[in-house]
Amino acid sequence: MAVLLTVLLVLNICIGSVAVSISDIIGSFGGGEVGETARTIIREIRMPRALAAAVLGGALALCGYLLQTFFHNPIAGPFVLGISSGSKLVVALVMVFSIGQAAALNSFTLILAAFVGAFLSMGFVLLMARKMDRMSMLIVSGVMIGYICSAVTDFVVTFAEDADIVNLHNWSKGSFSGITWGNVSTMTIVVFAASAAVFLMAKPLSAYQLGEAYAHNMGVNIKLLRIAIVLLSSILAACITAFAGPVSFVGIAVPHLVKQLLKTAKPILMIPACFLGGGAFCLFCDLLARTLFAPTELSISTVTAVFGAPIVIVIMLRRQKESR
Amino acid sequence: MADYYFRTQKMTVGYQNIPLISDMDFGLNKGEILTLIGPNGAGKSTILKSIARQLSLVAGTAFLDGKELAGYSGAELSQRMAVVFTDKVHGELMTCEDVVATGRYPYTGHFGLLSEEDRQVVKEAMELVHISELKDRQFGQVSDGQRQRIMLARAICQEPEIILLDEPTSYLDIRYQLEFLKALQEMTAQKKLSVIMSLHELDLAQKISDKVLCIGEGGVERFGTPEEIFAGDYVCNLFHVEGKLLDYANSLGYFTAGEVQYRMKNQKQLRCGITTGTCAAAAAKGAAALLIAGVSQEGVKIHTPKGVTVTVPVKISESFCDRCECIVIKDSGDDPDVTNHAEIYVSVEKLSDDAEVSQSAFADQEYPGLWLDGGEGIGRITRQGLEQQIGQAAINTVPRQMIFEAVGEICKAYEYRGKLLITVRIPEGRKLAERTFNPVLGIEGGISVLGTSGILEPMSEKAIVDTIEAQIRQLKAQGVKSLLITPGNYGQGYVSNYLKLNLCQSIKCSNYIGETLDLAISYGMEDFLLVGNIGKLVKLAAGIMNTHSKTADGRGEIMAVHAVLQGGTGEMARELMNCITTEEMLGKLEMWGLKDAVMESLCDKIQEHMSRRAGNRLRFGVILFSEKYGFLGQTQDAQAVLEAMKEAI
Repeated sequence: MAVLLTVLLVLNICIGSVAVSISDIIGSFGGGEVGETARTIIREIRMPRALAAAVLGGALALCGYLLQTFFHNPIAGPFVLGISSGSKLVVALVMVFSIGQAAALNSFTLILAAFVGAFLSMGFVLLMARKMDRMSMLIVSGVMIGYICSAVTDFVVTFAEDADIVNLHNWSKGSFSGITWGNVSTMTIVVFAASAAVFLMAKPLSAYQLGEAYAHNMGVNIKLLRIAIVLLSSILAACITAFAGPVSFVGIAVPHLVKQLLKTAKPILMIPACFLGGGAFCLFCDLLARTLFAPTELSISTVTAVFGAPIVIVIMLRRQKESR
Repeated sequence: MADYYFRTQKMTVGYQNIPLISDMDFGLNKGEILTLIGPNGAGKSTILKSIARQLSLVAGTAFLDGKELAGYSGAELSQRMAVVFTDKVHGELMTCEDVVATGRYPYTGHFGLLSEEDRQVVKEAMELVHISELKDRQFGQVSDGQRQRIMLARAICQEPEIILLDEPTSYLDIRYQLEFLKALQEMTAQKKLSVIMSLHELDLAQKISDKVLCIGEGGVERFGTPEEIFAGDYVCNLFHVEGKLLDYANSLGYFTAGEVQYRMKNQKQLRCGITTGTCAAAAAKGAAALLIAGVSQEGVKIHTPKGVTVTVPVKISESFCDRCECIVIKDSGDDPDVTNHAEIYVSVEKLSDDAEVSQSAFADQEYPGLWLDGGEGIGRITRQGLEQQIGQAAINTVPRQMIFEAVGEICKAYEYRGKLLITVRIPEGRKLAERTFNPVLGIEGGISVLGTSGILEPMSEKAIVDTIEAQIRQLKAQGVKSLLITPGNYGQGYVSNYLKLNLCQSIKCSNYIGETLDLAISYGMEDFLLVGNIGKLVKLAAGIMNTHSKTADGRGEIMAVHAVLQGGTGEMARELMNCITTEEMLGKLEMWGLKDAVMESLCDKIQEHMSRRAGNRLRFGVILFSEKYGFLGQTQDAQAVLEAMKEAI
């Protein structure tokens, strides 16, 4: 999976409106003979974008995996539960108001805003989860939260200053374009820190898989674990939303693909595998988003939905079969 | 109270600080099983969840090993207490072994990797509940019963000192319930485990528990030993049911060997069993009683052809308004045969007056309106020469009569006159049949329902020879000098009906003819008369002194050779070799006019082999007969021995 990720990373850098060869990539970093345009394209545009796609894809998949484990629901994910939309709303609000005051927004402020949004909608989902026993209702309420947040976001966008609209509009659909090195380093730090924390939780997570009652019996501190899962998945979801906007289906589809591929659900394998798989999946989708109808760029969610949605349907069908 | 391993002190449990059951005081020692019984919703699960600390206690305390339960850290408690709850577990993409291995959680390192030692514990736990073969199966693909045992293995893996089980027998059919509880009992004994569990099956609770806690609608009603709790009507009141209904509930349970009443004492510690036919008759009677009268019986009385009445434990498998099915587990006594412990299912079904009954079903003139057929695991006849017609089920005449008689008795008692279809099935039959001679006999698809006397007397090799010896010794002590030997029930019937000899001095030698002869000699007997069916005794003509079919067969070969010796052709020999039974061979020999000559030739050969073994230390005679043709032949001294015996008596 790591190999796949690397290959896709290189491909993402090479392919585009200006073709770049592998030797160019090596050259641009090794100080070799590379044209200025190529160097700029590689170093300032494609490289950060590809890295961002890989890191954020990984974060998304991991976030989806956490939520699926937490809710014991195979189609839980940051997008479905309305967490992405929640953070999108807050980020949009912050953007509109801060631009109005001509203040510069750095990456951390964005993440923080997204985190607040993610946390708020997560809290709401948890509240619903307590009231509702049925998982299907949980998903429905998540989707509803998503719609409400999107509506408010659209409302804000409609009445925003003209100059902000284009930027905000692109962003709210989800895209990896326009990512700077500064963004990449920030997100990498945050995502890696969160992922490392998740990895350290592999053991309690594996106990949690059998259900809370058993996990509790095995000496797992359920309250602490729940708080940790909620916090970490919110951070991961927030990070993605802050930089790439809401990206759908990666969170649901990738963990299942990985599970099928590895034929196991052991967290200790699943956590790194999900991360790598999510990264690869996002790189692949971003590649298609950029190149399919070049020079027009598709939004990343368009592509992920095309690949992700069928997977979700297959999961549902298979579940139906099993429960019978 | 202070010495108990686990005890509660004024423990009050409930949800969200609202007390459900207040002020509980109970305790149990290491290695004891405490069962919670009571109606649904009384709070059994709440108590278990509270002890497992998934709910906090509303008031009072509980002590584990002398220390307050709340004082344990999660990790400490997890090494002492394991649970099996009713929640369905979704072990997605986990093998059964993975699920069991999660029990090692409290012992593994930070990343939960299993050490060699952990794997060993997992393996042993799986062996203990007999699920080793499920190791690599997906957890999602095993049956509920297996799942329950896997969860038990998981709990065992945790190496706890106390296990909490919430209705562990739900999802399990009766057989698995028994197996599960047996495993539990073994474990508590072996590992000094304490168990607290809730159970719905009262009879199981009664049998397995050391202590019982009764929870009624008002909280704890009683706490004590099963003997105290189950005395009188108390349990009925607890569940607000009539005693009759409770009997019915109890009848669904199992009955241990200790209650089996068909032991016969004169057999010197050897326990008799019952034949498949008796089992089928008992199950049929139980099912008929349930169907026609709605009466369920723990033990069904069956009159065996041997004259002994046995009480056979019966349990209910299915009960509908037009069809009931009962199960009897075959107990072969101290001589286990292939069908030992086989489950024999018999269903009795009401048929409408115009219903068509399969051509191959058996009917009996004495019991019009009753039909009998074989189901799954009962062989079908595919070749001529057996008691039944081709296509019929392999249920022999005597068992057939017993079944009809048993069901007929119920019909008569309750004046039922409708049509009934009785179906016998033995689910394991097809597999068991591989170990019998049925495939050779042309009986396909299962085993046969057999039994001539209804009682299986122990036939284990050492045991039977010992018994023969004991009997000879007894007779010798009475001053008897001549022995009357028969291989089995057929021989005894012939002796009393045709030879008009008194059976009181007869000994059954089963297949151990050589050994019996040796014993007779060593005890100084003077006369020895062996009377038996040709099917067994024909083997003596080849010097086969143990006539069990697993020792040697050779009936066809012996008959064929003697037929040729008496002028038969090669073609005749071939035909004889193709016969299934000796009766069939006799039919052919008679047709060819060779029967008497062959019999004489056989008897000469038997004489030769027997005298080689006996020397001239006693006078012996052998008489051959067949069911169909009666007397067939005898050896040279047989008549003299017979006369002497008649005189002596």
